[in-house]
Amino acid sequence: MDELTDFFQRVVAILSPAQAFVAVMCFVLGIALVIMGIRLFLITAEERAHAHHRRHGFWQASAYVVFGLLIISLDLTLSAWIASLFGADNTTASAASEIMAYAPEMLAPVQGAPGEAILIALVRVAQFIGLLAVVRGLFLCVKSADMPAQGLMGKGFIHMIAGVMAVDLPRTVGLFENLFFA
Amino acid sequence: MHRRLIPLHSRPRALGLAAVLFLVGGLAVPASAQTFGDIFTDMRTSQLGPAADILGTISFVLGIVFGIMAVYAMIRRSRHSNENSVEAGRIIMLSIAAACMIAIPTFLNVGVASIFGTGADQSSVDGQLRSLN
Repeated sequence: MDELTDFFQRVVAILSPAQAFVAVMCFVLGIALVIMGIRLFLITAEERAHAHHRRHGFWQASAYVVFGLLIISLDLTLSAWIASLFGADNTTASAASEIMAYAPEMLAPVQGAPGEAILIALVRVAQFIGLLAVVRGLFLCVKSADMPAQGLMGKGFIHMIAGVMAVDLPRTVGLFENLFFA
Repeated sequence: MHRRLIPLHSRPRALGLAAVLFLVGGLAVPASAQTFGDIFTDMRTSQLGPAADILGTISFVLGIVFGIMAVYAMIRRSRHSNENSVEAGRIIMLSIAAACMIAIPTFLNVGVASIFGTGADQSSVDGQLRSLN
């Protein structure tokens, strides 16, 4: 059991640099998106001026710029989502180790040394997957500007909402604790 | 009657050897990465930071090109006042795009501040994602 716990601890040790990598990747890709958005504004204006067949719209350019900015400042986007879902006082996601405090009754069976450690590691992994879901949701929203009328914007928002609930998994579990046991 | 066949391989090859430039980032890493976490950290610090710098430089150069195009369009419009080939909207959009692309860091800062407020922390390449522990 100790080796399993150690394995989960090693997995958790990877997640911090991986998370920073995702944030920086989003920063770089966001800059590229904003530059593409500015260029799309130019292309759209030229198409309007020449009355060509209009393949681009100002909506598309605006979506590139706005969602590019949201992707650049990924931590602020997450903070805004968490504040929107869980109240304005909560701007940062709760730590994975706080899950026992949020749902003590529901998680009573895993109390103890190895169970808690593995649970916290799993929560940490779920938080990372939630972060990836938020990023995917943002990129789906960008894609929705290119391919309209396919429901991509709604899909992107669902990814973001579910991702934020996974990022703040202790509070989400706390909601279910209050629902079932309060 | 014989047709003369021109052998295809006799065509002069105009292009010589192209110089291939490999962009190898300055990998200030130990001989091999020990964990996956090391790989992520190395990618973040030694690859993606310069990538952001290159993007900023490309944007700056594009901005200068757009600015030159704007001035050129102004000159063309002033010369051919009867001709309707250069619209005023094109000149305006070129100028705005040039300004935004030359000042891309400021544009990004202003954009983020517009969405999240001026008191918001500006993220950077080397910064950690602070919203998660």
